[in-house]
This record gives sequence, structure tokens and C-alpha cells, in this order.
Amino acid sequence: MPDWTQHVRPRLSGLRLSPTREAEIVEELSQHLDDRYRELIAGGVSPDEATRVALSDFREGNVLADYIAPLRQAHPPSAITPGASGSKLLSDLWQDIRYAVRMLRKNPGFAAVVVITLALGIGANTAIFSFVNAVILKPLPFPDSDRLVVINEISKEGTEIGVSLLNFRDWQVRAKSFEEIGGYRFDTFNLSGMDSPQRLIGQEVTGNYFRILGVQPQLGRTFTEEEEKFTPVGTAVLISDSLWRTTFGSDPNILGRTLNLGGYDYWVIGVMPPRFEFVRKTDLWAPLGGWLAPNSAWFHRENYLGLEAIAKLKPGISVSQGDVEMRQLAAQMAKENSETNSGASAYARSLQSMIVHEVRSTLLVLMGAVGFVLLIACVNVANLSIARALVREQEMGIRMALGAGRRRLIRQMLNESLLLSLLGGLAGILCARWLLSALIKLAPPNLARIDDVQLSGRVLLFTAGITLLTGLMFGLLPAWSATRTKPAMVFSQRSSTSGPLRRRLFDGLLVAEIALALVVVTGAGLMTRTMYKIAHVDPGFQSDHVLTMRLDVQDPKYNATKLESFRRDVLTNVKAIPGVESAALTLSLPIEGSHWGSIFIVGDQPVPSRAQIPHAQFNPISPEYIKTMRIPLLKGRVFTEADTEKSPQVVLINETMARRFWPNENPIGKRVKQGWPEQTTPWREVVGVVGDVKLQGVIEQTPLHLYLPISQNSISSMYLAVRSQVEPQSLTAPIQAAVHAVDSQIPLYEVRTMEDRMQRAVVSQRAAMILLSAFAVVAMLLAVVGIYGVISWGVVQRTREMGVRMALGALRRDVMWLVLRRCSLLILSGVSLGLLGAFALTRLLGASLSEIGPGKTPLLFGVKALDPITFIVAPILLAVVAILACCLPARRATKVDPLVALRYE
Amino acid sequence: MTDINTQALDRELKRGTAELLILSLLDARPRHGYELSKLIQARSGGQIQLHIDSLYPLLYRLEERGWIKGTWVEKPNERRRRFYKVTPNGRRVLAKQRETWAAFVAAVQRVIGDEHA
Repeated sequence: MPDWTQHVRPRLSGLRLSPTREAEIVEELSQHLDDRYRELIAGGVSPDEATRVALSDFREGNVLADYIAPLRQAHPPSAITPGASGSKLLSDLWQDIRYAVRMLRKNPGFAAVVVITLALGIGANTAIFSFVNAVILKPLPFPDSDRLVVINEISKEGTEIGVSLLNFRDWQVRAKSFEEIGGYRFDTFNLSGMDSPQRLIGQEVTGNYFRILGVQPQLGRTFTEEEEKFTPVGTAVLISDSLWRTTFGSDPNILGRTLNLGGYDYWVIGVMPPRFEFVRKTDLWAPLGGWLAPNSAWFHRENYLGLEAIAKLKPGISVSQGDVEMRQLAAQMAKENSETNSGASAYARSLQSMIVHEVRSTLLVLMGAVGFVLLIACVNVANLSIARALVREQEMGIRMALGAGRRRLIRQMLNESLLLSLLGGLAGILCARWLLSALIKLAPPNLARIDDVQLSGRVLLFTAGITLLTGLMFGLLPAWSATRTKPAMVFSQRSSTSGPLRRRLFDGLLVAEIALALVVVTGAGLMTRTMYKIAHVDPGFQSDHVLTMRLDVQDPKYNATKLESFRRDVLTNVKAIPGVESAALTLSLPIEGSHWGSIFIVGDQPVPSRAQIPHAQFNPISPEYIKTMRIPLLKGRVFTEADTEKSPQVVLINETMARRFWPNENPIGKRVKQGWPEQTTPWREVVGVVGDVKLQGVIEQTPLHLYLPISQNSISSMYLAVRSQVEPQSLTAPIQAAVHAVDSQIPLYEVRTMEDRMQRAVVSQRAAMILLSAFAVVAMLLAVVGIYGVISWGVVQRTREMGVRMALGALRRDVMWLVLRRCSLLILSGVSLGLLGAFALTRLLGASLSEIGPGKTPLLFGVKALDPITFIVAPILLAVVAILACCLPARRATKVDPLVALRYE
Repeated sequence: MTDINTQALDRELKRGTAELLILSLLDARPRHGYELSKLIQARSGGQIQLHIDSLYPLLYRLEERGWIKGTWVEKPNERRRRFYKVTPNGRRVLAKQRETWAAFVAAVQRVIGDEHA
């Protein structure tokens, strides 16, 4: 009788029948073939022929399998044997995921800790990246924005000074790298004739400005050549979309409408598209040409009246090529115009870099710090996962014994960690949304492109990326380590976990964690020291109880006499308000920067060559200014009401100026004159010396500074400063009323306390300090948790050893020392490694002025990037915290009862 | 094996005619697979043959549906055989299928009878 099974079984092999069922079918079909065979033999057929005929009942192809395949018995509910070797990738994946979910649900505590840790790390990274993306990475919203450059002149003192009109016109003709060079200048306008006076920010621009930026008005047109010529009255203007919508209620008939700006009539010829913004939020644009009265100050090469240049590079020309040409051109022009241009230079740089330069370094530092926090979080989670993997060693061993491949097990553990990181990433996005709204409040309000900061598609892509990376980072190591188990080992009671390799793995992670944390803590330390230094800078005046605001008197009806009486009336009214101690008007406020810089000459001293003539800041003030700001009077007197237009011309100088020009003399009675030697400006007598005040921010050096009586140097744009005995903010409304009682059409704006202005000046340092400190706290917390966990685990692992030692007579302190010695070694290695990292990375914070460009503020102030105090305190702080984290488990080690410990055997 | 070829039978098998044959044969008494195949062949005068590779899957399908039930029966000095019998549920299905079949055959007969009349 032939063996039919060998003919039947192969036909069933492709089906997923249970072994029992398969055997039954084989038996049944063999029986059938037997019956047939016997029948054929009985009919006189030869055995071979009988076998052939019996088998011929199976048709070509595997019809049997095809018919059985759809049956239920061919689809047994698969028993989950995770890790069993298999080949179906997708079904395996699904199986792994279901298994992972089940494992995590069994350990909700572990899952929660991991997800929260990752959510913090991923959330913080996402939030900071939202800023980096919007501010640094996103291209500017102009066509060909990579070809847009700003060009500026640099004075011989090295500051950016815009460009003088005549130099600008020379550039337009002579520079070859650019398709076009255009100019713009910021100005403010008082819009009156509406319900309440409004102060608008405008730009006076050259006709090609819109062409260079590649924007067209959404309504109307840009300027004609005719409109770019000088007119002594108003001009055509374009207005912004937001002004059109808010102030004019989207009036469809806005074109041709007349606006009263500073007493002149302007007519609207166009509305710019929504969100069009160049450098700063702007309400209206007017033709620069309309301002350029022949023979006015504009046409002196030495005058810088706020004009700045923007240009579009010719295709194929790089920014640096344009820059080189501008430097060469400036050098040539300095030779040709040695009286005005000598020592000056010029540069071109991309518009993008100009707009983001100031925040770039801050953002990169924050991005770095937050990246470190995420790394620490990863290390922590890896620690946790390894520890958990050890607990699951038996499970892994059993599954390997059952035939699960190592790669399969690693993949399954990776699936678990990816699932965790996915949950962490989702929670992180929620976390980021919350963080982002907090960060936007913390950010400098004038931060370029802050409106674009959001959780955009690109940000979410980034989050997805770091989530995946995180899952791999904290998953790979534990997976690799857990699957090193040899099946045989798990069945012996003694676990293999304290193997030297695994211990080294833990130690390595711990050292990395401490090192990373130290870098972040050091960075935070430097910023904290910076803020401390800033807070302790003496600004030279008392900022408390001072309310300040701006007002511009633009109406042409105000001639010098009317202006004088306006100022007097305003001050009289304001001082009459209860709670006001004193009030003053000034062109410039401390911290906010000077509005008037000029050259000057000193009497009785040799006149230097024109290139060497000194430069100082001039500030016209009303008599009570020095008293209101509480600037100390060092010598002589302050201005009084007796200093009038007709009385002798006088001046106050600051201490720096006195020391520079009259180091060993009394400056009182000396004479100075603003302007060039041949100019007809009056000589002024020094009547007093006052203390230095910080003029530009809190950080910059105080320049030479002169004060003139406002009566002898009339100004129409000014600050009102009020010292109060009450909460200064509470005086806002009464002061407004007092000013409007004099002229109801004058808008008051930028109403701020002096303290607020000081805060704003250091807002980027403050934001950096707060964020870095927060990250440092999180980093330390994570590190401490990690250290505690690892050391505790180590102690538990060595319980038996401790017990033996104590049974053999070791004292508690010996045992404690045993634990602490190992901790100290690890902490020391971590700290050393971290110090190296900090040395390398804190340089980013301390980028010097020359590295970050002229006129920009470095992040650190009064502290070197390698500040010794920080570099001593931060490691000690971290080491102490780390040791404390070790002490608890070490103490527990000493509580080991030798008898209990030995019973482990 | 002339008029009804295998492919056609397979189609019928899917439609349930073969189910009807098997249920009918098992209605009389329990039988094993080989007996079923012999009976079908004999009673159809050799017109209908169920191959081994369609017969058994069909039996398994009917069993999965709960219309028939297979049991191993051991007899002395013989290998055990699997005998199938109709379940009560299968009996109900069979009654219905017989009705339908009779109606169908009558209808077909009417059509072709008219044609030849």
C-alpha cells in the first residue's frame, strides 16, 4: 500500500491549519485513496497503475488547498507569541503594537513617567523651534527675497548711521552690483480731524521702493514721477491695509480722500496689501522727494537724516560681492569727499540677516539648551527602560527559547518605545501650544516676524522628526541590552543583570546625563549673572515713580513763539495735577537712545582736522528735567526759567565730557559750539556738570552728552517726563487731559513708566535668563531623578553583597562609603565631561561685538563666557544635588539586614 | 463524464447543487467520503463525478456551516473512518433546497418542454 501522506500533506502545507486538523485531513484523504486503490487492484490493475489512477483524482494545480483556504479552519485565531519568528511584516507590526499597548497598560506608572518626561522635552523643543522657524528659517514674504540687501554707511566710530542723501545718490549712479537702490526713512505723523488724534508710523520712500520689494497696492497705484518732486505742502500717500480697515472702516471710496497729517493735507492714492510690512509695522508711505526742499539740510553730504537704503542684487551677484563693491565705493568716495566722508565706510548685507540678526544668537542658544533637555530626557527614559527591560529579562529569555529571533525582539521593544514617544510627542504638542503662548508674552514685543510664530506644518514635521528620533534614541539601547539575555540564564534563579557590561551601560548614561545637565546649568548661570549685573548697573538716574510719554507738535500753525507757550502751558497744567512732583520736556530719554547726535567744537582748544572733530549727543531739555530724573548735579547749576531765548546761550555737560576735555580744570565757564567751525551756531557757556546717565540701553557705555535749554533750541517732537508721588500709571488720564486742554489734536503715545522702558531695554537678556533657568531647573530635576533611579537600582542589585559584607563585619559607614564612592566617581566624570562641553558651548552666549555686528547687543553683559564664578558654582551645585540624590539609596543600603540579604540565595 | 464537465460542476458546486446531492445522500444514513463519491458517480450513471479535491473541501464547508457533522468511527481490524451525518439544521436546509430544486427543474422543464413540443 503506497504511503499517501507524502502526496496529501504537501498540498496542505500552504494553509494555516492547526496541526491536529491537518493530521485529520491527511488521514481522511489517505483513507479515500486507499479505498480507491484497493478497488482498482481488485479490478486487475497493476499496483503502479492503481497508484497513478488513484492520485490522478487530484487535479492540476492545488485545487484542494484553494477550496480549503476560504474555510474558517484555515484561519485559526492566532495565538500571540510575540517574537516568534515570522515573515509578515505588517501583521507582525500590528501584533507588536497590540502587545506594546497591553504591556504599557500593565505598567501605567512607567508609561506615565515616560510620556510626561518626553512631553516636556518634545514640547519645549517644538515651542522654541516655532520661533526659530518663523524668525530665522522662513523666507521673507517678498519675491526674490534672497536678492534683497540693505546698505548702510558706517561712521568712523563704527556705528551704523544710515546714509546721507548725496552719498545715496552717488551710490545709485555708481554701484554696479545692484539692479536698483532705493531709500526709505521712518517718520511719525499726527493724524487729526478724526474722532481722536492718532499717531501714525510712516515711511518716506523713493519711487523704486515698491518695485524693489516687488509689491503692488491692492487698491490704487504707487507714486508718479510728478509726485516725487518737492512740494512745500502735503503729498500723495499710500496707506496700510490695517489703517484702511480700522480707521477708515474699509471705505471703498478711500482713493482720493484727504487726510490731515500734522496740519497738512495728504491725499490717498492707494492701499497696500494685508500683512505687507517692511522692517517695522507701518501705517503709511509718502514720496521721499516731496520732503527734499532745495537747499535744505538734506543737501549737505555730512547730514544723516535717517535715510536708509535697500537694494536688489543683479541676478547671479552674491551678497558678499555687493558688500565688497560697497566697501570699495565708500573708500573711493571718502577720498573724493575727505571733509565729510573720511574714515567712513559702507556695507551691504542681506535683508533677512538684518531683520533676524539680533535674535538669532538668542534663539540658537535656546534651541541648543532645549535640545540638551531633550537629550537628558532621552537618557532618563533609556535608564527607566533598561531597568524595566531587566525586569522583563525572564520574558525575553522565554521568548527566545521559544524561537523568537533577536532582531524580532529588538524590533518589538523598539515598537514599544516608539509608541511611548508617539504618545510623548502628542502630549508634547499640547505642551508646546501652552508654552508658545507663554513665550510670545515673554518675547521682545518688537521681535521681527513674531506674528508668524505658530505651530505650522513645518514645525509639526519637526516635532514628528524629533519624536521618531527620541523613540529610537531611548529605545535602541535598552532593546539591545535586554535581548543579550541567553535563554538558559533566565531559568537559573540568579539573574545576570549585574553583569559588568550592563553596569557600564548604566554608568555611561549617568555620566552623560550629568554632563548634559551641567552645560545647561552653566548657561543658565551665566545669564543669571548677566541679569544680576544688569540689575545692578547704575543708570545714573532714578527710574522709579517716573511716567513718560511722547508727543509731536507737527501742525504748521505752531511757530517758535506758539511752541514755546504750548510747552509752558503743558508743563503748568501737568504740574497742577495732584500727585505730580515735577515735570519736564526733553528730546531724548535715558535708555531709549539719543535723537540728536552731532559734531561740536570746544572753545580755547585747537580745532582738530575735520576728520577728527568730536561727536556727542545733544539733548534739549526744560529746566526741571535734571530734577525730575534725579540726575546728580556735580558742579555749577541746572537750567532755570531765566534761561530764555534771549539770555546768554548755556549748556550742561556730563561727567564723561568734563573728564575728557577738562581733566584737571573746572569746566564751568568754558565754551562749546555745536556744528562745524564755520557754521553760525552760537557758542554756549558751560554752566554745570551732571552725572553720566545710560543713554542707549543699560549696557552701552555713556557717550559724550550735552544738555541745552529747550527755550534756546526749540523742538517739536519730545517726551514728557513726570515724577509723581503716587503710582505713576494712575496719572495717565489726568496728564492726557492736561495736554489736551492745551491742544486737543495732539496725540500722546508710548505712555510708559521709566522702569518699563528699562525692562524693555534688557528684554532679550531677561527672556534668555528666564528660559535658560527654567530649562536648567528641568535639566537638573531630570538628572536627579535619573541618578536616584540608577543608584537605587544598583543598591538593590547588590543587596546580597552588602549583606555578606555586613555579616563579615563591615560597618554601616563602610557600606555607605562603598555606595557613595561609586557615585562620586561617576559624578566627577560627568562633571568633568560637562565642563568641557560648557567651555566649548558657552562661547555662543558670549559672542563678542565684532562677531555679532555693529550696533547689536551681546547676550552676556559684565560676565565673560568663561566666568570663573559660574564655572565653579555650577559644577559644585550640580555635584551636591547629585550626591544628595545618591545619599538616599546609600542609606538604604546600610539598612540591609544581613540575614534577610543572605536568604536571597 | 461527457455532458457535465468539471468546470461546470465546480460552478454548480459553488451554487449549491453539489451541496444538495451530499445532503440528500447523507439524509438516508451516515456515510464516509469515499462512499459518497461512489454513490454520486453510480447514481448519476457516471454523469457526475466529485473529485477528491472538491469533495472534501465541500464536506468541511458543510460541517463548518453546521449542516452536517463528521465523526471518527472505529471498527475492529479496520482503520478508522470519518462518517458524516446530517444535523437537524442541515435537514431544514435540505428540505428548503429540495423545494427550490424541484421548482427550478420544473421551470426548466417547462421551458425546454415547450421548445420541443
